[in-house]
Amino acid sequence: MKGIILEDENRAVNHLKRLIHRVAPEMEVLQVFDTVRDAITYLEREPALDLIFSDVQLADGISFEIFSKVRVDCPIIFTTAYDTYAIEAFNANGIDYLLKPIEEERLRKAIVKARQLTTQIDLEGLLNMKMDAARKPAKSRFMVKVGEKIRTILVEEILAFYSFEKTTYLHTKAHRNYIIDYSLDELEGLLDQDRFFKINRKYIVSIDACAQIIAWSNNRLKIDVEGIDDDKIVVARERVRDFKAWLDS
Amino acid sequence: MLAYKYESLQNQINPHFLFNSFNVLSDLVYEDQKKAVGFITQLSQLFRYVLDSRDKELVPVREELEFIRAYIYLLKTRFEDKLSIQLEFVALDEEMLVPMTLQLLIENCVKHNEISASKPLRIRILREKDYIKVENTLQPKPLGEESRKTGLSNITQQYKYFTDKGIFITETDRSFAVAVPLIKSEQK
Repeated sequence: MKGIILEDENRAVNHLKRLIHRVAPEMEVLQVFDTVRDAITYLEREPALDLIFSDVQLADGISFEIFSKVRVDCPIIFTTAYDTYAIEAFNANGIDYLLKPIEEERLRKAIVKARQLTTQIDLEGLLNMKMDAARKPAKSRFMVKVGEKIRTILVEEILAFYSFEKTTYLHTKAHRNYIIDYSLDELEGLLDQDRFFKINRKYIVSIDACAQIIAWSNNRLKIDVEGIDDDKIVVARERVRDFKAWLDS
Repeated sequence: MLAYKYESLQNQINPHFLFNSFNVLSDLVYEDQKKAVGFITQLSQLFRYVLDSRDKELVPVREELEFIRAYIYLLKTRFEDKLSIQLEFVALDEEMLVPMTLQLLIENCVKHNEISASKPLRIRILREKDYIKVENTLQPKPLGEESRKTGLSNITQQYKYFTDKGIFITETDRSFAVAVPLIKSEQK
C-alpha cells in the first residue's frame, strides 16, 4: 500500500508515521506535504496512491480545497485537532475522521476500512470489465446519518432496502435500519445486480438475506429477512422466474 | 459589566492549541523524553498563568513575558524551523498590560499566516517608545481577514478602559504589526 501525508507540523507527521508503521507496516509513506499548494501540484500528476492522510488545517489553507480542485480516487483519512468538519470530510472522499491526539486503535480501524474499500473497488472493476464494459461500477457503500455523526455502511453489511411511508431504509446484518436518500428505483440502477434483487415495489433484498425462502400462496415466494418482522417480503408473481434465475446464478 | 469585558481576552486560548499540543506530546514521549517533560512543564505554566490572571485587570509586562516565553517554547516545539519568534522587549518595573494581550497577538499571527517549510513565519516582539509591538512577516492564508479584525477590535475595546492612547496597526506589503500602549502602574 502506498500513501501520502498532508500535515503542517513535523511532530504530528512523526507521530502519525510511527502509528502507521505499527498498525500497517506494509504501508509506504511516499511523500509529506505541508501546504495545499504543494499537495495540488503533486496530485495533479496523478500518482498511484492507495490512501491519503490529511490534516484539515494546512499551512496555507484548508485541505478540502485540494480535493475540490484535484480529482482523487483513493480513500482519504482526515485528521484534526478540534473541528466540526466531518460532513465536508465525507463529501471529499473521506472515509474516516480522526481526532488528535490520534489513537492507535482508531487509526487501525480506519486503515482496515480503507483497505476493504480498495479491494472492493478492484473486484468490482474486474467484474465489470468482464461482464459489461458500459455499466457503471456498482455502489460499494452508503453514508448514513446517526444522530450528528456520519457512518459508512458497506454493501456487504446490508441485508435489504425497503420503502416505508415514502422513506427508504437500509437494513443491516446487525439488524439496524438507516434512512437513505435514494428511492428503490434509483437503487436498482446503482446496486450490484449479482448481489441485490428487487422482489417487489417495497423491497430490494441481498443474496445474503435469501437463506429462508418459503413457498407462498399464488405461486409466490416469501423471504424471511433476519430482523425484519413483515409478512410482505414476498417476491411478486411476475418476478418469481427472474428471481429464481438470479438465485441460481 | 467590567468583569465580563475582561473575560473575553482570557477565553482566547484556542482549543486547537490544546489538542495540537497533546498531539505533539504523543510524539515527544517516544522521541525525546526529556523534551516531553519540558513540554509538559511549560504547558502547565501556561495554563497556570491563564487561570491566575483570570481575575486581574492588569498584569506587569514582566509577568506576561514569562508566560509568553512558555507559549513561544510550545509553539517552537510544534513548528520548529518553520517559525521564528524573537523576543527583544525588555520590560520596566512599572509597565503593565491587559493579561493575555501578547498571547492573542502572537496567536493571531500564527492563525492567519502561512507557516510552512517554503515560507517560514517570523515574529518579533519589540519596544517602540512606550508601546510594545508584535510584528510579523505578512504571508496571509486566504480567508483569515474577518477573525483577525475581531480579535484586534477586542483588544482595542479593552485598552480604552485604561488609556487614551490607541492601538496602532501597521500593514505593508511584507509585514503586519500591532503596537499596544504600555500602561504605567500609577495609572491603574
